[in-house]
Amino acid sequence: MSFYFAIVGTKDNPIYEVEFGTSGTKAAGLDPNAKKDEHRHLNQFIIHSALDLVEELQWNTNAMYLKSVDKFNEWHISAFISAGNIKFMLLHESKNEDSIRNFFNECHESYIKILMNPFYEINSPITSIGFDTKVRYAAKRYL
Amino acid sequence: MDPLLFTAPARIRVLLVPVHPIKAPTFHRHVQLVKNFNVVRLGDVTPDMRGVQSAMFSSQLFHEGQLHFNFVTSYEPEHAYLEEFQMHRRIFGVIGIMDCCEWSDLKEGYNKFSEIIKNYRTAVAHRCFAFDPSEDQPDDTKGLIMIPNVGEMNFYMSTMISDFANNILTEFGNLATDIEKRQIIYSPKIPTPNSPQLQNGSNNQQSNGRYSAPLQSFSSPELKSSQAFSLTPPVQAMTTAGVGGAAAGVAPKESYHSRSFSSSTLVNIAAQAANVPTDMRLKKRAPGRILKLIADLYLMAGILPNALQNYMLAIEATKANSDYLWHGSALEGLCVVLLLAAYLHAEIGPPIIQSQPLASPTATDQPPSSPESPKVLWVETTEKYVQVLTLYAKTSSSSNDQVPPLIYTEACLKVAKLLACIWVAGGWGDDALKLIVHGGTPEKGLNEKWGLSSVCGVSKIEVTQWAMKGYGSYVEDMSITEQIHITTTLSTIFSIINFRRKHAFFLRQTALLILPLIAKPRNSSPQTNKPPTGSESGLLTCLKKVTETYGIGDDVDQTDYSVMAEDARPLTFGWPDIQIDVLKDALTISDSLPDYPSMVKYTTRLLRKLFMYLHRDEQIRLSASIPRIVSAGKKQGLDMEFKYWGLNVVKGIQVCRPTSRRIPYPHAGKKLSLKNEEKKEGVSPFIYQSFNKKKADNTQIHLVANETSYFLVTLANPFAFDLDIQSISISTDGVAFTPNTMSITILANTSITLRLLGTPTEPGELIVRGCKIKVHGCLEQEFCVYLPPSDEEIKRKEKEEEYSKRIKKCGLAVLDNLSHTTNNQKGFLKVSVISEQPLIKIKSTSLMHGAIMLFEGEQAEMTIKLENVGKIPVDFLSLSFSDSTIANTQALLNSSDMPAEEAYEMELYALRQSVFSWNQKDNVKILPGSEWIVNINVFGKRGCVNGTIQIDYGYLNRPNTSDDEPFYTRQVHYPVLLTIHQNLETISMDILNFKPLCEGENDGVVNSCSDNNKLIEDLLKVMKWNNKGTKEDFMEKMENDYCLLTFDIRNVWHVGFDVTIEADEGEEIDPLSITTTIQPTSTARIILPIKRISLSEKEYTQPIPSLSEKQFVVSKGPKGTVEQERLALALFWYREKLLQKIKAIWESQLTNQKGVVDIRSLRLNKSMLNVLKINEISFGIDIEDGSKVTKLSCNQFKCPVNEFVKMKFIIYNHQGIYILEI
Repeated sequence: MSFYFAIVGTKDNPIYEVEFGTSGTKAAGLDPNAKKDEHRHLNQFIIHSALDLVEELQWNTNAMYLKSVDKFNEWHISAFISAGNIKFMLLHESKNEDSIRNFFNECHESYIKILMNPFYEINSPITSIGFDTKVRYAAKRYL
Repeated sequence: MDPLLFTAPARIRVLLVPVHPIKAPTFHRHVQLVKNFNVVRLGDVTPDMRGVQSAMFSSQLFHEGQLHFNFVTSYEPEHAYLEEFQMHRRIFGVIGIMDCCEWSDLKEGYNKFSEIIKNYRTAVAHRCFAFDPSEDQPDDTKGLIMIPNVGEMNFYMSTMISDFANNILTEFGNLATDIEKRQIIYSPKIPTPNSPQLQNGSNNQQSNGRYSAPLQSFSSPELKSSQAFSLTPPVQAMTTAGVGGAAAGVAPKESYHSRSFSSSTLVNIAAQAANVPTDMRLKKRAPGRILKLIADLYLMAGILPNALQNYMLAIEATKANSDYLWHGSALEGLCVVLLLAAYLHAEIGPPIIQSQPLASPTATDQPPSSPESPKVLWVETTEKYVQVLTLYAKTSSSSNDQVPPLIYTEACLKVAKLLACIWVAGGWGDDALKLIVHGGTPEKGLNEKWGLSSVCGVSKIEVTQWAMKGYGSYVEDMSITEQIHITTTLSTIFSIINFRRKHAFFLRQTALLILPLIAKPRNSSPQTNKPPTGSESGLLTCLKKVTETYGIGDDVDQTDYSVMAEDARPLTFGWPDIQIDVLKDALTISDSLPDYPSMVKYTTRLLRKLFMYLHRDEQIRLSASIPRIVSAGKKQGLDMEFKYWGLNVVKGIQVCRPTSRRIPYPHAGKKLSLKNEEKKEGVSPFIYQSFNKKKADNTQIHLVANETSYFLVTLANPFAFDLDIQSISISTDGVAFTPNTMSITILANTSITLRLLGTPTEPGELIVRGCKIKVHGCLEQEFCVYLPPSDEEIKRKEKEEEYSKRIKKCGLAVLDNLSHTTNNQKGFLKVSVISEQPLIKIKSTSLMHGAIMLFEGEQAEMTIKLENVGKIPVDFLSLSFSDSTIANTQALLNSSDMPAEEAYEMELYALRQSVFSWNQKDNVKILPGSEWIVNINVFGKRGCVNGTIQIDYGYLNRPNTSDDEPFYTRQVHYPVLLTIHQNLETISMDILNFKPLCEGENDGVVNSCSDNNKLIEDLLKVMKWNNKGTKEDFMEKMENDYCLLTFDIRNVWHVGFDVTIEADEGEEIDPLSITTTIQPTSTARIILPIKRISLSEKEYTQPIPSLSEKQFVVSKGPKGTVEQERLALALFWYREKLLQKIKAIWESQLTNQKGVVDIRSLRLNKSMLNVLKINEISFGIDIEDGSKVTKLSCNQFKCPVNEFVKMKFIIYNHQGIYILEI
């Protein structure tokens, strides 16, 4: 199980990216780094292309959690959209709506805290270490 | 035509082959002509007269029906294994296209065509169209159809096609009977495991032509021919199948059968398949499969009712046998039938049921679908397809009937495309159906507005879901062609529903798939200026689209380079990692084409937009590749001159302040001299005026015509590689300017400040636009530097943007917004250039090392020799001076709260005694190259250590100038070091009354002085000075009008000085002067008779004047009584009067120096004042009787005792007013 989580700003720009899961370490093949790198790029492309669907879906529902919006091969893309049109995108393999919802909620909460920082500019990359650990912790807990 | 059209199963594939030689454009023209006739109504098909057998597909059965031809120009044998399963994949007909102009003997041509058709054995019908026959070419070749280029060509063609259609229909009948007779029908199998080499081999061979097809509808003729031949199945297949395929007539069942299995791949399948399942099971399934195949034929033949009926039967049969694959396929066919029926508005359900009682049991289940309102049809179709997919999915468990992934994917994509078509048409209806049936590009705009998706019933989400279903991991296992097909279809679908990111994603995927196929070996053969072929330009367009979506499209190149500096901020649109990837892909693709201009384009874009995300080595590599690409491109004869691509390197530009002696100072008008101006300024009563804006020193810098001016230019290189600037110069507007160029290298990640030179050649306004820079390998380019907008401008802009700011854009909409940001023209730096100015330098002075040593009060003279080193004469010269004492005193005066008389003393010292002075001369004229001497008087002022001589000069009386014009002067400064030694000091002043010098009578106060002889000597001098009257008179006069002023002068220097004291009483009396020599370290007492001073009350009660412009401050100290105040004023004014009279001059015989002794250090006190001043009213006593009375002294008389004497009281009134009473 591996996950790729990205927060995308309003200008299609990533403001936070993280990858977690076990598959990366497990699949220590001949050249795990290269493979991982390639995979990471593909992940980004997949997430980016799923933004189309998020933009479509966000008008159809009141909920911030949009559930699984797209599917790419065996991968699901779940999305969560904040009030400020910041998109939380998670690439995952298995469908588990509730835990993903919890994960998103947790991340959103952390994001709101980041947003309240007067020195944080909207759409700028999140560099806070605290945020990173919080997200990783949430991932450990829920995913 | 798109193979993934929903109604593809209803289309008859007909191959159009060129019969060489034929010119490519001619061929394509004819192809287009033929393609116009791709739809033939069944009613129009020439009725077949041949036999009963073919009545099965008689065109007369279903008049409304239509035959859809799918005219193709290329054929992929790759899917041959599916032809058995999906009949529409076969080539049913071959039409040769021949250009009569190329052939002299048409028969020969026809023979060639016959050769060609041997390659396509599945084709059951063929024609050879000979276009544009000339008159002399006989129309006698059998089988060759001449198409004249005159007359009713369309009619003729449609007849021909109808005839062709009839032929095909007949053949369908034959095919059907063949199929019906078969015992076993195998499911398709992917042939990959057994013949990968073969596949790959053929792939490489045919790379270019074949893969160009999905991108572009045609490919170049040369490739076409090679393709036509290389497409042939392996050799052994040809030989075995040749017999049957060649004949135009009936294809015998056996030959067909053997043909279909004769290709090496299919043999394998057969062998494989035969091993696993029992023949029995297959035999059991055969009837259902036969039904399905026949239904396929009906569908293609356009006889929809029969197709429907057969499909239903097939569904029944396959369901019973749990033959999932065929069941699904039959369902797919059914959907197509229903759609086509809906398209034709034909009621096909009920009539069939009546005419064909066989179908009735199934018909009861299905009818609701067809006769019901067509709105539901697409919903039903999707539902059916869900079923189809489940069926297909089920097959994965069985070993031999597995669904080929292609079929599965195509099913998904077909639905997706169907839905997309419905969406774009704005809902289910004829428009949508037309799109579905005929394909083609939908017009956008109908459903562009977001939020409308729910209106038409189809949501974009649904489309995406279907589409993404078709893109599973198994796609990667497919052959590249198939993958390309899938990705192109996907990108088309997404572009239809306006999902630009997805569209771009799949376009990129496509491009990457195509990449290995187009990679040609870099041959050095000179292909000069070869225009990109269809596929290449298609690929480039593809790249362009992809980059646009990711926010790195061509728009970014449009931006003005001078404002690019702001764009370097990281907070612009897009995902940097992805952008880098996409650009690198684009680079690789254009590299493999190779297309040099786009390589340069993408390299530079990558560097410019994303350099901050690139590693240093990467940047260096990319930048190094640019010249290489350029030279490679130039070798190809391409015009590879390109502009500088990077960010604006010029960060700022400013005019360098000239050296102080070159600075021109402006003055208002010619007739106002500098001194006048100074005076004018002193009028205001306030020292500090808040409303007077004082000009800052450096606001205005003037350049001088024909003199080199300097500009400070700051350049910054944000990249990780060195920027080699071959030439850089100032770019200007306005007056003529001659810039000097220089070259420089800016090291990586640094900024430097350059001093650039240039010469304005005429007066006026110079607009500094920026710099012209030629970066190595690029064209010279101008980099503008704008002034930062003023506050007002910013406010105005904010106001303008206020409205647009309120509408927030997100996602790709931002991208559109970005390009709209207009940068309204901002101002450039403007510098005024003034006319030529003279230049003077100080050639020499009379001083040694600029230093002078003086005694206090000494007067000396120094000279300065000026030389005009400029080009024009100087006719105005003005000197001004400053010395160190002024500033000090000023500070002291301002800070401390001292009594007014003290302050006056200090001011007098500071301001009235100037160290330097100069006698102005008129008619100054220093011609260029000539010299001029200025004489300056220097005064030894106590406490002064240095001073500065400032010489302002200019050329005023120029020809052709009016007096009002402002003029400019320049300044030369000459600092002088001063050493002032104190030589003499004056101390202990006293003022005494004259007393009679009676010997023996020692009651006087006067004789306290030690040096009696001296005193007498002095008095003798006094007598000499005025010995007109008698001694008595003199004495009396002295007693009344004079008093004695005494003070000491001490020589503190080691040289003796001659001191001359002068007391100037003015009026009629000659000035009295005393000269003494004061030896070193000795003191001389000076005694001077001074006329007593009478001042009116009005005079001595004036307030103490102030010499400097000083704000009046109320004294903070304790205020004295009125008497004290009066006394202080009186002391001040009497002292002033006294000092006016006295003048002390010293002279040194040895050094021939002379100067003034400072006597202002002498202070007056009250008792002295009483002596000095003449009272307003005074008494005098006199005794008249002169004989007896002797006057001893002034008021002393000797009288006889007891005798009356007449005493006379004289009252003197010294006041100016008349006194009435006593």
